[in-house]
Amino acid sequence: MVESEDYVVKKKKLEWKGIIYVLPAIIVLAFLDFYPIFESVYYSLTDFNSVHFFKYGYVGLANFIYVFTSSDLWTVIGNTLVWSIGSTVVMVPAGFLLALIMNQKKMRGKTIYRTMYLFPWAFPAFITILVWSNMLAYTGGVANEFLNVLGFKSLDWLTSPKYAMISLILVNFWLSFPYYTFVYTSAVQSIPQELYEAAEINGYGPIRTLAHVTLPLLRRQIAFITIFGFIFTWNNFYIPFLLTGGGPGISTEILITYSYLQAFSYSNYSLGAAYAVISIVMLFVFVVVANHYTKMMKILD
Amino acid sequence: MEKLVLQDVVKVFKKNVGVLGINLEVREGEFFVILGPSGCGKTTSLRMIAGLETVDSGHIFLDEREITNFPPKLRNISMVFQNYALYPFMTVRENIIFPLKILKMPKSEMEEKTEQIAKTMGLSDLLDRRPGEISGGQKQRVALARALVREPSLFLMDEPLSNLDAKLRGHMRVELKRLQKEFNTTTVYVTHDQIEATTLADRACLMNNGRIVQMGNPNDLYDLPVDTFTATFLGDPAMNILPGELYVEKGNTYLKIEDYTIKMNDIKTEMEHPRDVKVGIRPEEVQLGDDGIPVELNLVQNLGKSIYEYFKTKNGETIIRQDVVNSRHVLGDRSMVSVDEKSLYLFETNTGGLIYRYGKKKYQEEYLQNAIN
Ligand SMILES: Nc1ncnc2c1ncn2[C@@H]1O[C@H](COP(=O)(O)OP(=O)(O)OP(=O)(O)O)[C@@H](O)[C@H]1O
Ligand SMILES: [Mg+2]
Repeated sequence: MVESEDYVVKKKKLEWKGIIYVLPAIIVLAFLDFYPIFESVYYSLTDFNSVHFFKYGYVGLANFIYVFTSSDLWTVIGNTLVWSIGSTVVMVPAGFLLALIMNQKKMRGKTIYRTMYLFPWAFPAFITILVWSNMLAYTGGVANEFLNVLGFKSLDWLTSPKYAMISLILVNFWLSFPYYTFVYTSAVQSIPQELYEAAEINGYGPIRTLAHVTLPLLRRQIAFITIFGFIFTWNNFYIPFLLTGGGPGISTEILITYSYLQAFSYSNYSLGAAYAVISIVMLFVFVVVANHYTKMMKILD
Repeated sequence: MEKLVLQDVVKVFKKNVGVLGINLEVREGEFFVILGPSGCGKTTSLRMIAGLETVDSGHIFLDEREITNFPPKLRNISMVFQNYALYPFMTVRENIIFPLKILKMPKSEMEEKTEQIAKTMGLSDLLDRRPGEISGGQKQRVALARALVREPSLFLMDEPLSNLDAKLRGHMRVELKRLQKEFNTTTVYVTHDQIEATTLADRACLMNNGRIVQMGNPNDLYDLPVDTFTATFLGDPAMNILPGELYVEKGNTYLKIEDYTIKMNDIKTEMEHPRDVKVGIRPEEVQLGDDGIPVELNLVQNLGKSIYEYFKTKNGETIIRQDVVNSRHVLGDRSMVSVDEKSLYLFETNTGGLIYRYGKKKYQEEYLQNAIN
């Protein structure tokens, strides 16, 4: 009895100390996470733009009403979904697959490959994107020359509404999946070898081992990496901005580039902020729902 | 009948020597133990039998069929891993059923077999828990159940008890032996623990540096070790080994250990030159007397049911005496370790091979004669 009371007393003291210890972290997080969000929300409720630069004022939901009644919003949201989902469903599984292949016991030269697939990271992303932009050019681009050699007609990779988004996803895939390979490698390596061997001895082949052992073991990590891949892509500004600039028309505008376009090209800061707020709210809802179904946050415990 | 045969099986790793040509014959229904110190190649041998490790040269036969290059799944072998290798996301039931799920077996039969084995292993109440929610000993039993449920042709175990505490280990030893007799499945069991070897094995082999040093009934290994390695590996505390000299005078053979000389009545040799030997005496056979090797008591270890006394000789050699009661000596006391011809082992100095053991191994005359120190 006495012991347990002691324990309770100790525990209480610890809690107070604990809060003091984590306080700096909480402050930094609040500043990093919430300050920009509050600022965006605040601007989205004003008429802050190049005309009212010095004396802008509160306009209520006017910006949102404008946004929700414009036809652009739904196109842009559609584009954002296609871009994020399209990229995620190819690059995350590809990264996982490559990580599995690279971790085969019999695989030789693992270190060389690992170094190699880290290579794309060493270049600044915008240079790689410019290279891709040249490769996908209608005339003189490697992609079309290759198609021509094979006897196909040239494609409007970046300049037709039909192919532009596909091209963006392709480039994003190329740029991103080594990252996912890398992230999955540590997850795959965390599985003790005996768990594979126990399956092997019991007659499980590679496919069944994947289905019955590897995937269930990594369920949470996969959910986590996929969801974060999705969020990261959602906000991945570089590729659409540099490759197509959202065009042709607004066929490759995503929320984040469109927000930028409104704010900095049209100097309509409050409208840009409204788009940013919509983007954040959608992501937030998505994360809450995704976490509810996958319990992915548990891997952080 | 020979169930499992290994012929000159070799495995060489890049830098390390894995297994250097081992020959084994395990009989049907036998509990066979591979014993040896860490790194001697026990696990490697077992993994080659299982097919988890390729064989560099040599042959492996199971049920008179060569399986050297078969993949694991064609061997019908079950294995229990040292750290159990249970699937954390599966319940105990799902873990046990795992090997059956891949066989073309009706669901009802699978479930029946699982219930059956769980009952035998005392796991019936735990079937719906996950490995994270049961104790080490229970995990061990789940791992055994998973290995047994398939009714394998051969059962392999790699130090399955090493993660358990001493008491549970003792309990599981008894349990394992009972199970093996009940299922009558031929078992190859790897351990570095000699108590496991002596309590479990029908036959055992002792490995060192990738080779089999000696094979046989565990008691025989203890009684008649082929060399100083076996002699000192088996037995706790280890056998005392002292340098000695064998010589002949007026037709009688004498053994000189430090300042003390005893007559070896059983050795009749014509050898001309004195010969250095290693003398082995088991701690439990060390006697104190009025005559013998002068020693001084250095350290006493009381283990409750037995007492170890560490003596130091004049030349700085240590002799351990094991007894159930204290000899009433205090530290620093001088006494004599008397040596009896009948309790001695003589080993060759360089190779460590056994030369002589009273009543069990006759010295080779030729060998003693030719020796030149
Ligand atoms: N995959 C491997 N690659 C390189 N060397 C290895 C490999 N596996 C084992 N070895 C080496 O082969 C030798 C035998 O190893 P093994 O695991 O069979 O020993 P062991 O008798 O099981 O030891 P322990 O009792 O410590 O488990 C050791 O020297 C070890 O370092
Ligand atoms: Mg081992």
